[in-house]
Amino acid sequence: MDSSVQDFYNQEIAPAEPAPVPEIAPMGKKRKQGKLENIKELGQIEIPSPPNHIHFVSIVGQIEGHLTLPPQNKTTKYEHIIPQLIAVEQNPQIEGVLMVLNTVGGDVEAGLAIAEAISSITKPTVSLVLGGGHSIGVPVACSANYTFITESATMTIHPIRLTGLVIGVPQTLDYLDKMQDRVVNFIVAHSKCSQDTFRELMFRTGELARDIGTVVLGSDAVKHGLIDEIGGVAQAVRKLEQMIEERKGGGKLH
Amino acid sequence: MIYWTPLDLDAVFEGWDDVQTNLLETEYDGLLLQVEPLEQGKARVVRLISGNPMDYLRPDLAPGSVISY
Repeated sequence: MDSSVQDFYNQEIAPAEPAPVPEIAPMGKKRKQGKLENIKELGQIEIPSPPNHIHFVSIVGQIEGHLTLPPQNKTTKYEHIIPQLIAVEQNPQIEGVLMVLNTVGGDVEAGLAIAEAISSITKPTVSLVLGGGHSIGVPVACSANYTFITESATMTIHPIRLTGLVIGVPQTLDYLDKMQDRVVNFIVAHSKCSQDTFRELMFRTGELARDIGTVVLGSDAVKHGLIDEIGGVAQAVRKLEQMIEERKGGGKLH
Repeated sequence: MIYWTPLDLDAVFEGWDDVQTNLLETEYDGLLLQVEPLEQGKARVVRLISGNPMDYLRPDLAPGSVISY
């Protein structure tokens, strides 16, 4: 072994200085503390942000309903998203909304609430399905003015189901049908997909292993008219910027 | 309640019974928050209770963020 290498191994190692303990900032220094928290919790530094006129909404994991889900679920909480959307409508600095979905569905009522809130905003909204937008994620994705899906993303379209006690009476079926109509009508009203096509996708057999319904791939979602265009982050942002410009110029939303 | 998801509902609702209910209401920066207390005077935000929609745009008050109180 080279002598310099031996020297390297034989040298005495000075005891490491104890790492400085980060001071916990008092209440007034929230910003600094936020940065520290970011490094500790997420391993990321805070990137200086220029003033942004796009509000970003991410719909991830389960869309949580009126019951708090156990902690193994990643959830999107409607009680936080809905006031944010009201703020978006009111705040003159925000000119558009970009919504990114990677969701496995969840509560029908909460999902429809978010979808209706998005669709009733007067500012331009663009949604992008990355990964997946399943079940109740479908109406949420359709609710934006213009919608994108990535090539590899999927949407599972299948009949809704009841949880908990189900009473075996004909009324149960009527109720389920009514709930299904709420979702189907919303999707048909907010996308180019026809009622018949959507119901056909929903009740198709032989495609899902343990359910009836369809897994719709990105390009098929566009073909069926559920989503407007195949695209990724760049296309979605560009489209939103373009819609914001059109709106500023007095142009009409499509 | 209608849960509509391709996931197995057993997996979603697993541990339903032992969801902890140790939540506090605290005032932070003049706003009412429902929090889950952590160690050393810190708490994780569960819910913001405010009538001003602009408060919901603050990232430090989003559910899941940690505050000192």
